[in-house]
Amino acid sequence: MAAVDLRAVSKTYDGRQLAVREVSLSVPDGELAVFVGPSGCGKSTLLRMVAGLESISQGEIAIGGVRVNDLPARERDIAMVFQDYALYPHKSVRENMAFGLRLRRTPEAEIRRRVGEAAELLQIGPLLDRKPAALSGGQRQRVAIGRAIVRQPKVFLFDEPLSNLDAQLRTDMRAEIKRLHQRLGATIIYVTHDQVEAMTLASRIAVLNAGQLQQYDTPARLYRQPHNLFVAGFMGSPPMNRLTANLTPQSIEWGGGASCQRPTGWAAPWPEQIPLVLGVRPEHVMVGPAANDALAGQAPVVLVEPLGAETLLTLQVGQQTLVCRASSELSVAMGDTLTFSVHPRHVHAFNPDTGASW
Amino acid sequence: MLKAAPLVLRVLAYGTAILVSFGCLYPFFWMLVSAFRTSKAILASPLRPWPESLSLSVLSELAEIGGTPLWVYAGNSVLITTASTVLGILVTALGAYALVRRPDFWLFRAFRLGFLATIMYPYMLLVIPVYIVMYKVGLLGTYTGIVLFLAVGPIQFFLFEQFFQTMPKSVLEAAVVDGANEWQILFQVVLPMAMPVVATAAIITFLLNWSQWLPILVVSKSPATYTLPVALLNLNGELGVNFQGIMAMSVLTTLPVILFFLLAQRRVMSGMTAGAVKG
Amino acid sequence: MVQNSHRPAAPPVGVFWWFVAPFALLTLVFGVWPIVLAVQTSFTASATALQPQAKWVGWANYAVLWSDPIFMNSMLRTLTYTSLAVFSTIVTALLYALLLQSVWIARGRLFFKVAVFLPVVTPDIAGYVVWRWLYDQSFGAINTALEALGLPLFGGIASTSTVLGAVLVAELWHHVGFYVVIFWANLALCDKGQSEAAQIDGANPWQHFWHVLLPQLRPALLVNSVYALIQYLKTFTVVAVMTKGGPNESTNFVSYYAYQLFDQGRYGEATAMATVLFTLILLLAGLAMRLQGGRRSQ
Repeated sequence: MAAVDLRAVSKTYDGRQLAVREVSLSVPDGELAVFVGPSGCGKSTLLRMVAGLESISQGEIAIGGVRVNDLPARERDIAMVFQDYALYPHKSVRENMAFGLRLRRTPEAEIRRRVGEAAELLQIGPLLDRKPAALSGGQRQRVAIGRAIVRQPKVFLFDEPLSNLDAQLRTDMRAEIKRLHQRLGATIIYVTHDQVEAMTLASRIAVLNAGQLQQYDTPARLYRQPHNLFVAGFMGSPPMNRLTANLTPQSIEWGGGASCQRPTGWAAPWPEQIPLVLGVRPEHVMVGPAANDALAGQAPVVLVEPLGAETLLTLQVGQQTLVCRASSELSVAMGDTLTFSVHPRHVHAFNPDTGASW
Repeated sequence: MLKAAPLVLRVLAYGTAILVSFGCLYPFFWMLVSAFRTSKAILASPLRPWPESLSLSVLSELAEIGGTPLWVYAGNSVLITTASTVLGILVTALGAYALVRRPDFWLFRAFRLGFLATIMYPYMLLVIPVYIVMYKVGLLGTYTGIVLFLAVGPIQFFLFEQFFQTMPKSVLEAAVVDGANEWQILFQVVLPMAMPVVATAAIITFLLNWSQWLPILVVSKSPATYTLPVALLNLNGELGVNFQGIMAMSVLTTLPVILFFLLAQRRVMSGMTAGAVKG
Repeated sequence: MVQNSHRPAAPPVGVFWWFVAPFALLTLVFGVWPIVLAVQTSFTASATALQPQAKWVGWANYAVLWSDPIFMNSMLRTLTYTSLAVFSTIVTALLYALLLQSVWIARGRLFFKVAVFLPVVTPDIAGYVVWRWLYDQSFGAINTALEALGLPLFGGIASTSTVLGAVLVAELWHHVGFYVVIFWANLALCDKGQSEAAQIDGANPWQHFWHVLLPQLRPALLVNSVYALIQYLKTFTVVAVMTKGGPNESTNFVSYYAYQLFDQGRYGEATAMATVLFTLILLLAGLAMRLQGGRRSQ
């Protein structure tokens, strides 16, 4: 097991397109880091640069303290689990897992032992003699993981491994991967576009957008203290409410005539008057009369989405909407006017031009 | 379809299809029947659908055409076709693989262009300069020369190229990560996966190469290296009136191809048209 | 959805040299070199072509061609025949493919497909030999049958007025199946949803073909017409077997004429003709690629 260090890593295609811009982060030994972001943000490219499947245009990548920029993939001692599993179709499950070891001339007994252990860990023992075509998607994914495990590499790389599975299977496999990580104590870099996977699996999450690292933090801090608008809106489902507002000495104006009182706690160092983007998570929008010094207002309900355990209410605040996670016990209909409030400490403020948080 | 087609149209449709199929198959039928009938009989009643007697005496007549025994021609056909097929598949598969793995390398692009230019050239007329080339490298009249010339062809190349292009790259990457070098990737991962294409290409190449005649005619210095189609052409010109002989020879030339084809028709049809359909 | 904008780190070329070497060698020695040689020879005097120091005559061979009425007629004939052949092949193939794919034929499709493709894989020499005798004036099966039915006899390959038709039929027999299978596959790829919508809208078969199928087939029709053009420009075997250029040069197509010149030792002129034909084909191929590229970007 080893740590992975990225120092100002960049990737350019044809000398022009910047797929990855100067990303720097460190994954300590034994941690599971997740690279997350929308399609095209560069997370897979970054992973493949760690693997050695893409060349590093600028910067440096080190595995276990050793610079690997000039090392081909096969010498970096990494193992990879691909999105489409990439199993060898003509080989049996056993042979798929053993292939890498055979190439390195591992003794037969050792191969048998490792394959057996991995098979047991992943519960694919009965499948060892089957070919990939005879397996289900979930089984193939396990074999792909098994192939990586037997190599006992320094780092595991997962490239969106659950994207091709159906929802239920995805949830089950997610839990399995978490258990595996705890069992093996391995250093894992995991790429996904699903922020739920990121939150549940990661020791730390790297949020990427358009090739740039937005924030690299623990799930909790990412959730509670997003550094910018992008991260704020990306993590959390339903996403954080982001409303543009004008802060005046007395009030917060939401536009379209709606406004509420400016909390007394918002004095210095806050400026007197400034346009802002304010963010509030839906679970922090409370229905009912406000406590003292909370952000409060009244708004009509424009959408009711019952989810069973809770109900999502969309409120019309001026020209903008506010989503609120309300108890399903509450009986609300479209058109009702509700009183809502938010505690000031749950309000995030962002610079409307740069997106950075205050 | 929402409603069944009217009977009249269906009868017309089947009628047309049967007529067309008859037109396509009749020549074979006539060929086969005539092979068993004496020339006199053919001249007398050409349309008779069944031979008067199933005599194989024609084979002994055919046994000597232009001074060379029949079995030499047949043997040449088998030898040359098999050798050029095996060589061609090997060479083309490896070549296509290399070109697909490194399409950006300028020299490889040049090779591919050169290949394309070669197949554009009116094939029949290529034999003119090839004759000169063979002369210069001293391969004129040799089996080697013929086999080498027949080895590379467009259909095999495009079949392999298409296959390698659509092969999932992640499997190759998995092999790289597992630690395989390029030789190991080729032989332990790619070729086993390519077996169906290899089979298709081999069958098609065999069928096409068996039918080749002009290159063999031009490169040969004597009938000793002629194959069945070439011998047939000579026979057609030489023994002007021995129809039975000609037809028997045609059957001999055509039968193996037809059998081969019927055994694998779907594969052959889809393989031969693969390039044109996808575009 | 996997994003495939990745271009993997290019593996070092080294190993691939070994893989491509035999292929490159064969292509160069028996492909590119001959072509270059052919072009070169077209600029030399025929008598000296095989000697190490061939005599350079510039465009003389081409000039001879230009002023040779036989060549010009041959060219005209070739172009006429080719256009006719391509048109009949494509139209026939399309119609037959439509028929076989239609609802009017429920069973036996594979049989019809195999039957029409069989002539395609047949050694062309054998096939044309049979056709030559089928066409024979005195005892060919065709004329015997026509006589029995009381219909006028068919001139076949003996008469200049019918020989082109006879050759065309024989070539159609050999080539149509190939295009039938291609169009068959293209038809199978057509959008079923559109066809069903048309049916619900009440379109008859002709309207269905014209408004739904034809637009989808247009790119394939264009591309394959060009392929067929290239294929028919090379018409050779049928002439060599059946007519030897006659009667009276009426089937003396360019490629056959060129071969005759080669046979007579007039290497310079033969290669000049070949080069002309080659250039024509290259232009057509360029056209085909342009059409294909256009299709892909749609």
